Amino acid sequence: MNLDNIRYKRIHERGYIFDSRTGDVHLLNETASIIVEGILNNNLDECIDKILDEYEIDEDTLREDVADIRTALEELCER
Amino acid sequence: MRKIGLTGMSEKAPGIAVARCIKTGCPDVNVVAFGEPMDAGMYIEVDSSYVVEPYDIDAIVKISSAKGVSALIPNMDDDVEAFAESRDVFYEYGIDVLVPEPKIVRLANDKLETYAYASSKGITMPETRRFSEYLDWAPPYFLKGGSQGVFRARSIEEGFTISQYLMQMGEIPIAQKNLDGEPYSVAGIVYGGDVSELMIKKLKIAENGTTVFGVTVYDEDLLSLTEEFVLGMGWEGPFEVEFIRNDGYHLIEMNSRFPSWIDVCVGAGLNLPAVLTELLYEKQSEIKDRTYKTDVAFIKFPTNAITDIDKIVGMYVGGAIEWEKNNM
Repeated sequence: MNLDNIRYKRIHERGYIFDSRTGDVHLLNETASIIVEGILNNNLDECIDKILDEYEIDEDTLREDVADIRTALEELCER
Repeated sequence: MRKIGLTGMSEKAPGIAVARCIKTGCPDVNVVAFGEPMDAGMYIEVDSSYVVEPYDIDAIVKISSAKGVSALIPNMDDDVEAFAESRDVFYEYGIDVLVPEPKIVRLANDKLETYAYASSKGITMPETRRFSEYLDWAPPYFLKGGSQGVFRARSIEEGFTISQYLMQMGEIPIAQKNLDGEPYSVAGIVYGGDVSELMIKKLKIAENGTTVFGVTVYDEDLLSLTEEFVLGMGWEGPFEVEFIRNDGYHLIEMNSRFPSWIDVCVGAGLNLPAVLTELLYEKQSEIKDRTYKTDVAFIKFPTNAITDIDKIVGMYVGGAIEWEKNNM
């Protein structure tokens, strides 16, 4: 994933992604923030476990969300 | 002592921001303001201020010669054109000004010429034409009136009213079709066929077209398009080019001077007015500064120039103030 043009930062409980090529800001909710951090820090499995522990969400739905977020992040990086 | 003169010192023009940039990047340079007594920038950010009538080149040359001002940066579109037409006069008096030839300035200042030029080069731009009461465009569309700014006409009646206002102000109303999309702007300097530039995304624009919130970005495609445009026309000196991104970049308009948001370049690490100052004084023979930091945001805010009433009266009566550091 080419991360040259995007920057992720957590502000309080939420993260956001800034695309420094387009100026677009993508504000993430709490779980999406944890997932993005897991992807960027290569510890996605730990993050998934953390979400399953702390939030009321079933694993299949979570794994679908993870796949969607990863695809969206890859598309951002490829632009 | 190096002294540089600036015009466009009202709160609506970029001169104040340019002065701030020069003071930050070239602290040894003395900044001289040329303007009118009620221009806020005559009372802040500068070392001396002189009252001149608009486009009074003779007065600017006379004062510059007397006071040792050896370089000038015009910061209003009409000033750039007047300066371009008087380049020989400035050079005769040893005053450096980086502006293109008059016919090239008009390619930027005359929005119809900009449209014709862009179209001839295959650069997409929303249709632009002189407003007439027979204009059959569906609103909304934009009306531009030189120094009066940009207006959005949301109905046929509003378009007509705006055009009447602009004509009363002595401007020829120019209509431009609306194009939805994300607005961007590029400010830069062309010097000797070389370009240094900085880009922003406009995140909020006021009704009059002023950018009030923006962030620095970097896009190779926009950089290339801007360079192609300004170098192709033979530009020299400061510029701003505005775009809309909608399935690619579409040119909206060009301004022949720095924009009013130019001071964000200090925060981004590419102080373009300071770079221009060094080029004018030949401390640099070529543009070396090009890189800047993205993600730097700015928000425009109004403030007050605070001074003693006798300074303002003095400006009307005497036409000049040499500021001392404890004047404000």
